[in-house]
Amino acid sequence: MPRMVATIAVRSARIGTAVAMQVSLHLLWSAIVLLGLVTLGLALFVYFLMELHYRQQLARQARRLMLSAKISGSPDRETLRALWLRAGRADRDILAEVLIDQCGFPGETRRNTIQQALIGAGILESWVEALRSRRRSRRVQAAAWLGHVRDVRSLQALVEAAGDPAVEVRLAVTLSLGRLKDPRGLPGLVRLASNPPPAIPDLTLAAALAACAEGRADRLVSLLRLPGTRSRIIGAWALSAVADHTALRQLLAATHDPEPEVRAKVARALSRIPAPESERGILCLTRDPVWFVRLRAFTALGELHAAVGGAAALEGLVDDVREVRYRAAGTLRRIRGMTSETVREVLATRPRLSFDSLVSEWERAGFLWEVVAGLSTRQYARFIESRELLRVLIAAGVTSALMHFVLVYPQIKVRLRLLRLLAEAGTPAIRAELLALAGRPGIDARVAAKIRQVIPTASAAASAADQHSSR
Amino acid sequence: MTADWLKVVLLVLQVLVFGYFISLNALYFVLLCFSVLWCRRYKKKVVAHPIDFEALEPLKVLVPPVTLVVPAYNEERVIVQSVHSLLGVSYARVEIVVVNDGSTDGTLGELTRSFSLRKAEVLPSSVLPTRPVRDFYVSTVEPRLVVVDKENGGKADALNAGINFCKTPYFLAMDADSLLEPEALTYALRAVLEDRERVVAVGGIVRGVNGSVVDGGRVRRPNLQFNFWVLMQVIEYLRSFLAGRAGWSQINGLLIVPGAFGLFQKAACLAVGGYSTETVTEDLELVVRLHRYARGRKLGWRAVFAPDAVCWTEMPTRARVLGRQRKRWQEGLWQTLVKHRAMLFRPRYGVVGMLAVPHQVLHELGGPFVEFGGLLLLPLFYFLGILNWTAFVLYLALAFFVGVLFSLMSVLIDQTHFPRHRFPHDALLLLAFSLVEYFGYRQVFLYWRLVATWNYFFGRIAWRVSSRTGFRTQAR
Repeated sequence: MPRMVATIAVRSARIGTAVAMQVSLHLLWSAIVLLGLVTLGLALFVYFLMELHYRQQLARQARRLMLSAKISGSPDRETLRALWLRAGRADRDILAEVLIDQCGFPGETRRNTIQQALIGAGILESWVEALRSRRRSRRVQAAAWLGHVRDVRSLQALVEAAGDPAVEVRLAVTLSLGRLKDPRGLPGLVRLASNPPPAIPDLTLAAALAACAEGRADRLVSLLRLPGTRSRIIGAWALSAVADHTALRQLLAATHDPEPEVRAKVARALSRIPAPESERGILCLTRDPVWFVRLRAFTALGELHAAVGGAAALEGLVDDVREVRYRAAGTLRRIRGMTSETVREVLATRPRLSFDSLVSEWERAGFLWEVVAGLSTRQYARFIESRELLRVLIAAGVTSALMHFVLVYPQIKVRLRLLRLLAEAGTPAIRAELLALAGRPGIDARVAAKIRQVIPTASAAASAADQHSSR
Repeated sequence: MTADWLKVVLLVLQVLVFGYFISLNALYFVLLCFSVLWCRRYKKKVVAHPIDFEALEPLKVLVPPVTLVVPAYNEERVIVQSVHSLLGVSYARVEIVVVNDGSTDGTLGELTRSFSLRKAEVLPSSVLPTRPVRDFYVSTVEPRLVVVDKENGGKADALNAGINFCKTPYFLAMDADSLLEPEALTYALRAVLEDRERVVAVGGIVRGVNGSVVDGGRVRRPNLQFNFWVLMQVIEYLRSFLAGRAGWSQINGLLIVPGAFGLFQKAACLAVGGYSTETVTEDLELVVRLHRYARGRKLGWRAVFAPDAVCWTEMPTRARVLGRQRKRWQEGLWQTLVKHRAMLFRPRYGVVGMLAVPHQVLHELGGPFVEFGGLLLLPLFYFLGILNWTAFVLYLALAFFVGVLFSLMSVLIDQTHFPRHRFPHDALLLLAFSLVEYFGYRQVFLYWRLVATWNYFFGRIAWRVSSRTGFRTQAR
């Protein structure tokens, strides 16, 4: 029975294979010939494409150099007009690039000269015309060029182009209006922000709005009242880059926005407006249920340098979220400075993790280095303060970096003083570590001697070692 | 009787091998089509760059800050130049965390000398488990740079330590021997900012710096090094990134974000527990875990590819070093896919569960068996007298042309959309080596993958360190 099954299976497989083979061989031949031709063609195409690109690039660079030479110095409108009219499309693109590059040169005078020449030669007008071109790429290009020239004559056309059906054009218009930094560009941008297309990031729109809204924050405030979450985020974000008192009332109202992202941006916006109301608004946000809103609120408090924020920041040091605690520590640094009173207060009244967060955050700004620097000062009060603070810190176990400073601090005098403090206030473990330092190769002889001097066991051990070696 | 059964089995195997060939190339073809369309659209879309610091000044304060996490193990030859390259990126708000992963050479010393490091008492801001951190250093000359010195624990462990000390909402994981193009980070961030709610990982494109002229941490003149292994890798990378990952990104099935350039949302990484130290391809594993976590909870997270975010890296120039790297990748693939086998063919995980993971299992893990099986079957077919030479040669030619076609298409996409090598002789080299790949390189590659598979099953997996030669700073 199995034999029969095997025979049938083999025969059917053979027949199947033979039939398939006949058909597939023909197909294969055709496929291979086709693929071979395609591959060969593609290889040649890629090579010639690169060759062509390379040559075009060289030719373009040469042309660019020639055109740059022709309009170098101060181009007058007639020369530019003649050049523009004579130029073909490719040359016009190159010429536009050269002119735009020159618009970007530092110095108003140069830009004004180029602007005048562009206007006089009718080039600017042709670019404004191009904003209504049927070709999308021309519209994008024109919008970008107009932004670089930064001439207010193109404003109205750009504002109109903010309603262009192509999102690429709208993006280019957003950037150009942002470059122009003119409040008259706001209607176009506000229209875009009211119904923001997905391809334009919130951030870009917010930055463009902020660039144009200097002194006209009232136009942005309307965005905070729109139903769309993105619009409100964009509005708050833009306001965070514009310090304007007129927006204060609406910003305070927005601290109760249902969207946490909006509240976070509002905290930032309020930090730019120094007023008691702003402080109160931000303080309210430091108790927000969403952690990243609290985080931004503490950052905002720090930026505002609000004295009333000190107590809130101290409270923030016991926050459940580690990142919020760190930010609160940063806020304390900005509000009160890295003072010994704060360190002592935190150490005495807050849990250990608050103290760790405080020191950790302050250390990134060079806290211990600054404290140790106080040991070299001639101001007696500061010296005493530094010394006492160091004693407190050493007693609290902050020793790792201080040990390192004993080895690397630029002034030997400070190193030795620090060493003495470590030896006096430190635990047996610190003393043992100092002893180990003394035996380290390459250590400064004065530091090693001081260690042996201030730690009795060290000198005893050293003398014992000396005796041992002399024997 | 036995011979008959053997023939049946062989014929079935033949059909299976052919099925594998068809399914693999069909998938590649579909991905290639997606890639071509996507790259065209992408190129059209980015005529104006939304994060243009020069155009929009407020962006300088509004953009989210990003931390560049650079794990370094025995990188004394390149670390200073790498950090200089990172400091030169055009992105406005950057912090750099270099993690010295227990280097036994002068990596820390080089950094200390070049950036005047001093120790600081700083605790981590998150708590991913890592090997003990010895010290934390801040630079007195460059406020954006901090260095974490820890005991050796591998790249994943070093990255976790870096994330712990990162204070920003996004971080970029990269290699110490990599150089970023100045705009790379901005381009990667654009992908995030276009869809802030969903994009949690962005992978850039990795290119070989070998042979290029590097100055001040920047690639001034990209060139191709005339080295067999390097050129093979250049073609492989182009194919993998531009014909593969671009397509996977399009259908939200991207599983690989390169270790040399991967931008991640910190909160998402912390939510899944950071990098896994149990696998040797921590980058792949992290992305698979992010997909698994997000799709299991219907969060809609996405990993995307940014083709113009370029990271230049030193490619292995010797077969031995390249072999080590490739074995590690294959071993890591085994580890990752076995760990996440529950995702296989599970509709709950969407494209990842139904297409991306099955592709990795069938084609990447199964590939060596099929290819090796094919090589074994050939003499058997011959001795049993069922080898049709015409068919065999034709299939071979078909496989060759299909492979070359994919390589050429990748070169074409690269040259037309994101060109870096602009000299025609570079094109000639790439074209020539696209043809050579199937004669020798594929077979060596197969050997490495088989060894890696053996290593996986018989427990000989370990991180293998590559030697560095440093960047070339003088013109050819």
